[in-house]
Amino acid sequence: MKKNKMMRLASGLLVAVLITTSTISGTFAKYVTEAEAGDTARVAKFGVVVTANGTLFDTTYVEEAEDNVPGTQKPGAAITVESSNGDNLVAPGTKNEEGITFAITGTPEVDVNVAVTVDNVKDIFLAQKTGLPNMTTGLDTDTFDNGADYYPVKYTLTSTVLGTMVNGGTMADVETALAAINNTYEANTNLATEVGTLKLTWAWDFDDAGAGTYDKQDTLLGDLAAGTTLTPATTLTAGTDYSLNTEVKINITVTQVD
Amino acid sequence: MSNRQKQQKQKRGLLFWFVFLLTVSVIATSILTIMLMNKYYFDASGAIDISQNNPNAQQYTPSTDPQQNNNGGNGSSGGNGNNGGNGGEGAGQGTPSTTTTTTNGGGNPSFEASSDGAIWSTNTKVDIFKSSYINKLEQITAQSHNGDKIIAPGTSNSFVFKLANTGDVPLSFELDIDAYITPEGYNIPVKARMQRYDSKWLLGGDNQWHDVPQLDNVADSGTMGAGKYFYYTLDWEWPFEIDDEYDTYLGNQAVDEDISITIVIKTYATGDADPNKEAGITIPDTGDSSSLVLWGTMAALSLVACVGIIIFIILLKRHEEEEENSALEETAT
Repeated sequence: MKKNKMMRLASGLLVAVLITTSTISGTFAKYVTEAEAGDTARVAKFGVVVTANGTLFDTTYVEEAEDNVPGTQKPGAAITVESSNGDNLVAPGTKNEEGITFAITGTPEVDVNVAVTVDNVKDIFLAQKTGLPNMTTGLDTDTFDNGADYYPVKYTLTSTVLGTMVNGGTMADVETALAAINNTYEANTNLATEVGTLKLTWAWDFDDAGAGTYDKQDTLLGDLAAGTTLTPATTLTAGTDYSLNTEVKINITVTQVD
Repeated sequence: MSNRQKQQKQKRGLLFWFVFLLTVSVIATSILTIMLMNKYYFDASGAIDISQNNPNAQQYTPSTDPQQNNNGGNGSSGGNGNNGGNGGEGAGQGTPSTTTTTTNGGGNPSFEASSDGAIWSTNTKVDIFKSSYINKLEQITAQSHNGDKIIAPGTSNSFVFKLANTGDVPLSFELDIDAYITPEGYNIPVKARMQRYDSKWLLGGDNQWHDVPQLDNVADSGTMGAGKYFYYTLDWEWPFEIDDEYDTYLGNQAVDEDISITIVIKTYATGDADPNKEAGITIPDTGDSSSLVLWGTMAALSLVACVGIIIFIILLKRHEEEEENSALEETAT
């Protein structure tokens, strides 16, 4: 009996030792873990470029075929029209078919708004009026009626994408046409293929293919510019009855849309 | 005293010392084990709850994750971009990971870092940034042409991630962020801020934003009770109209080279729940290095006790055989 009791006691103690030993060994183990996450982003591409080339008017014009073009386009050619004070000028028979060009290029990764604004818009004109002095005859009593507002400088605006936007129109027509270009374009739009290259040219017809349809108006405007005394005496108000200046400032802005 | 009596006396003496040695070993190891386990508190259900050490830790229960407002929303025209809102609310949202690491004894420690329902491992790609962004009218206003993540003036995002103790023992955790711009020399005017679920700001504040590289100094640590989790909200934005000229410069430079921001979030968790002990181990190191002498002594005593028992049994058996032989000899004579 003693033997069995002793054996049982020893066995029980052995089990107890094994249990506590395993518990101790459990405290030796230590849980460790780590996790990592990240992200990278690059600055979205913009790269929109607006370029403008050329000039509209000049101080001299030289002969080309039956017209006269800016002297800067044909250096050395015979001058047919020349400013007396260095101001840019226009005259019957002058034109500029190379004009100025505007181009918008780039494929931005953001939505953009293309805005074309026109400032300082002026146009040469002779207002509709009756009894205007006819300065072509040299007679003091001759007059003529201008049946409609007369804009001698004809502007043409074209786009390589949109085609002819203005064909022989006024500066106001050009302003209206340019406003139609204003638009918002989605990200990743190739602006060169959406807007294209714009080109603005002008011409002042010399004599309507020999008919001289507007000779009286052209001559009156020329005499007004020279300060010649009008005969018969007539009071014409600059800005209302006539304008002797043409001018335009075109701004193209491409702005990211918020 | 006869030989037999002497032998019996020796046997009893031997037996006494072995039993004594074993008893001391068992008592000593039991006491030390209880001292270790006493670090852990038990709640009413009997589960380990270390809330006494971290009263602000939220109870983790299986349900939906904290929601992220990822509209990347831009502000109104001309305004600064919105941060897209803070992520998540409420406690204990989300389905717990089934990943459980079982160690020798000591409960089932398990840690999980996740975002958008995806569990992190190593170098996990997450959506701190996006490849396209929409405005309040849900119109895309910025979009990568090749799927890359991008940033642009007016873009923003709010990124929520969660650290969860999905095991049944407390864990110490550490959070560390790396943030940098490449190539060097560029400054990208993106601002950031970061907040913990309990409204503690790790970077910035309600109306305070910092340059993204300052995220590089952001860190957090603490103890997380079993079944509890923390979540963090990382907001960033590129203000729309602060410096148009510089923004345009960056956008144009980006045509020919990638100018990037990188943010990396590193998390560590260890099973050592002593809140006063510095956690954060980057090299796996199993084994508690403290009190090695004590533990070694106890292990040695336990081993001696085991060996002693085996020897005792062998001697006892031999002794019994000798007694039997003696008894047989006496009977024969």
